[in-house]
Amino acid sequence: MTAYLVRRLIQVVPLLLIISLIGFVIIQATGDPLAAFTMDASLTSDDIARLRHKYGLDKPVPIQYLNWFKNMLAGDWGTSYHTREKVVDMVFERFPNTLVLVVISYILTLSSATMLGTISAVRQYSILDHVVTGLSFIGIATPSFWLGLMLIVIFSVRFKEAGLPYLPVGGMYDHRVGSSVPQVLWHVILPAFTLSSVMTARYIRYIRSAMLEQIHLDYVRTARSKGLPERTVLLRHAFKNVLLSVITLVGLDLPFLLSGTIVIESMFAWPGMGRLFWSSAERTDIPPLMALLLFAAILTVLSTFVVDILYAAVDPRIRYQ
Amino acid sequence: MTKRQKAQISKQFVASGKDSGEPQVVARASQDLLVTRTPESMLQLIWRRFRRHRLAVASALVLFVMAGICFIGPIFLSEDAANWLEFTAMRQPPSREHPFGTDDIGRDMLLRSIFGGRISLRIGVLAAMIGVTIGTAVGGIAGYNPGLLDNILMRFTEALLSIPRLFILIVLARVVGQSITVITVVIGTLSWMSVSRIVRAEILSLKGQDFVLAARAIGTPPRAILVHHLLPNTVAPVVVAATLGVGRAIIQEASLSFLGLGVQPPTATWGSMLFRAQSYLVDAPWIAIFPGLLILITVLCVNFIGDGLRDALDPYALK
Repeated sequence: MTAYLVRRLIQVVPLLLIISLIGFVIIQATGDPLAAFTMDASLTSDDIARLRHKYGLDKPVPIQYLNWFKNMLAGDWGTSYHTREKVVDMVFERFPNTLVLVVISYILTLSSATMLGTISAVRQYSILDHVVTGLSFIGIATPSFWLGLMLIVIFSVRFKEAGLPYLPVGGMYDHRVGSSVPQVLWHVILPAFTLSSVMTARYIRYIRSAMLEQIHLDYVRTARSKGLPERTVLLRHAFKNVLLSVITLVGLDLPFLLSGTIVIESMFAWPGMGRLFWSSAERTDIPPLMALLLFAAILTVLSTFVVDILYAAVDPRIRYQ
Repeated sequence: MTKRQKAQISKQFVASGKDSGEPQVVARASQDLLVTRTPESMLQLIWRRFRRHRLAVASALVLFVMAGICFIGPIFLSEDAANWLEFTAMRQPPSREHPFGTDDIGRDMLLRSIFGGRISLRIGVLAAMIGVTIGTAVGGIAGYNPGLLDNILMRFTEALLSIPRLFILIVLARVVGQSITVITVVIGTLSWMSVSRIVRAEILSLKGQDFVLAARAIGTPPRAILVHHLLPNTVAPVVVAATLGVGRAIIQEASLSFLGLGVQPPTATWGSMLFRAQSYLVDAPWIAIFPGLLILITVLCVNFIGDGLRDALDPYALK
């Protein structure tokens, strides 16, 4: 196990290097960082040259890359062109908010998809199965942001008009009440549901077919024939095997979900990394954009790594040499 | 044997039985059968299998009609009409005159949906084609050149897959530009990774087979083996991936435009129409409903067609 862990870790390093290289190439493509200064009439060409030297821009490109890489590792991610804030502070200020949204979305997805997928598999070809399968097909094809708009129309606009308790459409908490756990939970309902909808639809289909595969196997028949209650057969025996492959999916879907946070957070004014990315993109504020892109990529690589390890740890059949 | 052929034969049997009832007639009937039955071509086989998938056929039909309206409609309608502002008819609910209603500055939503659909569909198809081309090339080269080249290409593919798609899409669109062409190319060049993995895996498993050995034995150059023998065998999964890629590209373009970072106004795409709709959810929800529904229907149809093709193209299926 330790050997496997070390080997996987060694594989992660070149991956991160390539990602950083891609990031650096994009930054190079954004043009001269001093372009704004060359327009400034009060600066002579000597001043520009001095600035260029100060920021290391007169060095060869490979050296620039190494310097940039060193800075990224040291946590110096530059400052925003727009607010002059340190990018590393901007990102980590928003990170917990995105984490809340993503974790709650995962919980929503896993709990509802597990339930619906299993029921749908056990009652194959029943009306319920047809409805669930049909809805999951539609769910996969629905753009999440459009679903979000429709949910706002129904649960915020129409409910408010009808005098019912309505869901808030933006922010993490009501500013008149202040931040508290119930407030955040109340505000997270719509964004989390929207964010997880497509994923839930896919998981339902996946869990349904995985479950169908399992319940026709011999060990399930054995479990039934020795008189175990159906509940135990399904949950303790069959579902355990389904869960294994779901674990890998959860890890692989993180980039998908992180992409989703850009759209959903900007739509629901959720103060997380996705919204920061969007507002930086609108202002073409390159340092936070690149920092967030690389941060999201690193999160993805790490989650894949963790999932691999978990998978090896949980499934006794898998032995990596 | 198709149903019609079967019916014909049984009719002949019945008819001939009535005439004389002699066994030689039966022999003639089966001889007829041998003569009339030409072997099925590959495309006929695929079409026959695809037709069995009723949802896929219906989806193809729906998509065909929608694409027809979006591409033929603009010949008779002018884009100026779609961008025509009518301040006396702002935010009107769907009516006989404006079946999809009007938007916040009085433009007819149906016309905009048609013109927007043309662009959304075109971006979807072209981007998927770009993605499949690059993916097949990269996957083919990697699969046929084991060792360093394969390793480098696959690590690069993995690295690109690790960057969440929308992040790199937005940065590139921001850096390179936001014209329709650029958006198409950017979405296309970022969607080849899964195709290249599929092609590479297929080629690795095909490479050891006898027909490749035979080709090599008669002195076929490696490039010809790759192009003429290996790649044609990967067509089935690639076609399925390409079909599903169209839906994904349409949603990606819509996401970009919805964020206001895609195709710029006044050009309509389904995504950019939704971008405007956000501000008028209270008074004019129909501005949001129709473009989204169109995206949903298109992607749903594309996915069903993909499913149908997957079954129809499966070389291991028996019938």
